[in-house]
Amino acid sequence: MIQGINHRAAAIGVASAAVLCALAVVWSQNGANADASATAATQTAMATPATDPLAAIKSAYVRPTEIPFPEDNAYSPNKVALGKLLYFDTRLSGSKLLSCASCHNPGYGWSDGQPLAVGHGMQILGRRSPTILNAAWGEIFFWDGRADSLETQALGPIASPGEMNMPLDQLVDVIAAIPDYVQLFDDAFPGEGITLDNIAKSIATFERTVVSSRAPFDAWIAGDETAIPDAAKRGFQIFAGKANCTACHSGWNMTDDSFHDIGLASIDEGRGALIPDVVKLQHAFKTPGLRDLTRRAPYMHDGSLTTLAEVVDHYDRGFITRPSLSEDMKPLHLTGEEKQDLLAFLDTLTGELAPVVVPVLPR
Amino acid sequence: MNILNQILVAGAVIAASSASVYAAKSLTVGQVNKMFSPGEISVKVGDEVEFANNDKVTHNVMSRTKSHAFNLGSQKPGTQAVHVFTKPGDLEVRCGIHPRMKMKIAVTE
Repeated sequence: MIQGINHRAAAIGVASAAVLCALAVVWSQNGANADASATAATQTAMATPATDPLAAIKSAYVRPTEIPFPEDNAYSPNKVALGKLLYFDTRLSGSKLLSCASCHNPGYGWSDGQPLAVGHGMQILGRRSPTILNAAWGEIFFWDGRADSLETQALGPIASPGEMNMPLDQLVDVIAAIPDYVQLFDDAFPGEGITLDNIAKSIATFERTVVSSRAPFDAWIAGDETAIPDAAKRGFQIFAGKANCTACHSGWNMTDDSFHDIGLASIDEGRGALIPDVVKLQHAFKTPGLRDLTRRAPYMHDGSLTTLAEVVDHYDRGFITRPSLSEDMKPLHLTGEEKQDLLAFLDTLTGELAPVVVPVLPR
Repeated sequence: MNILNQILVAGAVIAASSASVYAAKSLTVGQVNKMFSPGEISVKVGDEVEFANNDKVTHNVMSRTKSHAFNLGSQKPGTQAVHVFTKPGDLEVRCGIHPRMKMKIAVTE
């Protein structure tokens, strides 16, 4: 019946709009491109699975449509708002000068643009600040994987004497002394008050809303053959083929969340310091994701590689061979053109980046 | 010994031997394509589980579940690592190198 079809189409239209609105609200923190422009782009040149020889590989790179939140720390707008305030609040540090945002700064792709992090008293620390982009999909946290959840991770740098230098037994009192926070915690965690657990949960919930830009690569994966240049398409095939990058940089966020020694000239034991008896964990660090990569130099756990060209050269033939070296590392023998194609592909992982609003902090 | 005592002693011997009738089992869990297979098992206290690395990469079977922690160390492809479960409880077992590789083990009395 014509009337029945119209009702159903209208219902689907309303439901789709509602879903898009919900997604827009949740992703508004990073200013993701409007879905409307992406839809318009995909209508121009579609590669359908039936005609696309790369369909099988590409299917592993489809962006998720929802952010996962854990059962024991569900999403709520109040938690996100509170978490964002805490994230930007330098009063959570002993010096009153450092916040999470100091080292995980939205202006620098949620890192700090430095080869090594700088902490309390301007001391230079041992490793580069990782980005928090796409942390919602992370399995394990810190370069050495010592935290199993974002909630556990959040309090670590706050308490660390070299980082924010705020002892946890003082943190709750510091926040409770700021009158506005009392109501904010009650809004986010009714009746529970200000606790270390709630501080961690709200920061983690905010962090989960930080998602990388919708990139030209994503439009290409969705079927728009005009979205990326031919060099980038060849580059993706090299990434997934000859260069073997996908052995570790797998999935839409380009990480297996696993630990590998990639043969860098660094004495840092990495995860091997936590689990000393496993050879393959010596000098092993967590595979980072590659989203918004061109805006997140320098690279590696120690910031020792400044450009992506250096990174490609490292994997091609610049790595140290030792017993702990990952089984997936091998000399690649890439040609000059293949390297250029790889770089062209990596370029497509960055979309339009939008500014992030710094909140007015509580008094 | 009179008949009653003999029967009582016989009963005690039978009771004692039936307490050890359950023979501890040995199960195998495979590791392939960076996954444990099966992904969930139930064993009894005293059972032994053999983790077989049928994969192409080194794995590291471990658990950080409180009071059940263990670490079987580096395990090359083609090798087996064994762990005997001595306490009841629910454990999460994970690969220390590939943390998305997880399984659950329920240990019952």
